[in-house]
Amino acid sequence: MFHATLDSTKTWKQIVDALATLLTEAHFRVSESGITLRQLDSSKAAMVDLNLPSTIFQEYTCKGEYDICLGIDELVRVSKRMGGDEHLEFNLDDSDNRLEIKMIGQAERQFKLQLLTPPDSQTNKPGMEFGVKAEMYADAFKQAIKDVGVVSSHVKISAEKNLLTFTGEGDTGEARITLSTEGEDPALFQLKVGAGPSAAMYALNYLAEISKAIASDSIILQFTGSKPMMLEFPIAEAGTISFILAPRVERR
Amino acid sequence: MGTKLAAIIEAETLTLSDLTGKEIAVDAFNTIYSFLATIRQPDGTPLTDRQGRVTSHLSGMFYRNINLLENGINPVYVYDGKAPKLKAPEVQRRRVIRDAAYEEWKKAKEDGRIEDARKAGQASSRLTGPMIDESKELLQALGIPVIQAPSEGEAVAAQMAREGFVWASASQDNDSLLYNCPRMIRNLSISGRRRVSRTKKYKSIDPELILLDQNLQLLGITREQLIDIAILVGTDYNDSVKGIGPKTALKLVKKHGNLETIETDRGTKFDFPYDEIREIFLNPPKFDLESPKWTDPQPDEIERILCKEHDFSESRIQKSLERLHKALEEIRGSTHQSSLSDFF
Repeated sequence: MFHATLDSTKTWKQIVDALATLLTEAHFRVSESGITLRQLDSSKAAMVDLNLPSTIFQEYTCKGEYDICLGIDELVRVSKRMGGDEHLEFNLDDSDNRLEIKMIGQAERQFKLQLLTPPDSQTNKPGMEFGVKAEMYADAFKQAIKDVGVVSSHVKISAEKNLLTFTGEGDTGEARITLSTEGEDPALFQLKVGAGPSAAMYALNYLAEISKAIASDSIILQFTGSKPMMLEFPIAEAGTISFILAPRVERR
Repeated sequence: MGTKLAAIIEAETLTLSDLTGKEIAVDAFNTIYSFLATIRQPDGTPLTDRQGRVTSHLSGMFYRNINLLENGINPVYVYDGKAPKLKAPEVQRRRVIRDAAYEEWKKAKEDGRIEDARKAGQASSRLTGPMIDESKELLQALGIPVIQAPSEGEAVAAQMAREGFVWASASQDNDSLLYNCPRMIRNLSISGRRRVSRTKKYKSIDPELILLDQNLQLLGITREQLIDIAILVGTDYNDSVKGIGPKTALKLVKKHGNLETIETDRGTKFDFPYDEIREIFLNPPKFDLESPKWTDPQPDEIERILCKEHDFSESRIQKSLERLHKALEEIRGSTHQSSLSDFF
């Protein structure tokens, strides 16, 4: 049996929107301590890792562990029906193969979503170390991604001393956005650059989708030269969501 | 037309994505004829421009190759040159059939017999000199290499596959095997379905790979014997021997070894010069091959040929070209998307 309530439909919508950027099915693991999700996208170029501790919910009880696998399209459609002043209730009965989502406001509206068969294997969290760690305004990152998108379909991100640079070039021109830790109210709060190469290229189609899902004011971006990057931001206050994205690499 | 060997040949089913990254020599005439036959209105009328010139072949060539290139497949088209002398009766026979079909098409259309008209229309497909030149121009504008064979195109396509210039040769025609093509692909097609004759139904068609050596091993024969079987069943250069289909031919050749012994044992001579026919397959004209080169498509040139010359819709062509540009950038660009599994 699983039961949880959430006061803010906005929070829930943010979570669903973030998952919908990469996935076609959401595979939640629900346990006593909270809800987690870790999945690769279909091309295996990106991973999403969601962690919602039980404390973000107002009521939370879970006896045992459950795999709740839902189609993203259905989840998005139901979430679109949620009103801003409603609160949510989630229930799963051991006997029922459906997740109940209740929207409680002036009316009480109940949806039941059919559970899908969860995948056989679980995605493990890769052990990763990053040479560069940058903490910045989410908006500065979003704008940089949009800027580079004007001329290119890839972005090269490089870090040096106190500067984080986003560059792109295409048939029509070039773009270069520099964020610094210096000055008054800088876009970068913090930049750590370790030894070793600190430039890598990533596909903008992924980053544009991911950046749309950022609902927080700040993000943490970590990467290493020509290796995957990780973009992390808080969601629902005590929760976190991170995206890991494989780089564009030179053709052999 | 080629040789009806399908009954004894084993093929494995492929998907287009299995061919990603591979170069494939395509029998140009074979392909263009199939477009001329199939890209028609329900009553068998081909696509035409405002001046009434047939454009089915251009439409087919354009969309087929966009699809191949988007799948990361690099085609090179091989055009037939001068037909071997022995083919003259076959060429004449086909012309007669085609002319009769054309008359039947006009009549059936007038009578409102749509299904008969469609069938006759297909059989009346005529490949003209200007069509050949236009299709070559279009291919070159798409950045696809074109090779002019001295004689049968399939012979050159087979040579390319054998000498490693391409991974395989694509044709609907089993003659490729007789020309010693190690890998042959059938149904390298865009739509994945084909209309079943005289019905409204479609059957789905998948690309197939035929391996020559594997088939020879399975049948327990040599390529020379396969050629003898083909000659018994009938080729473009001789009629079939009455009462002999592929299975009987296989049995005969396995029992007797070759056509000479079959003749001796039967006590009658075949009424075709099988030695000369064998030569066509065993020793086609020598051809010096060069590595085919693929280049970027030239949108202006493609729009000139299709839209300005032949009234294709500019917006549709542009949309397809944009999609192609994006796909090629991804496939041929200096970087590519890695997978997370490359790192952990």
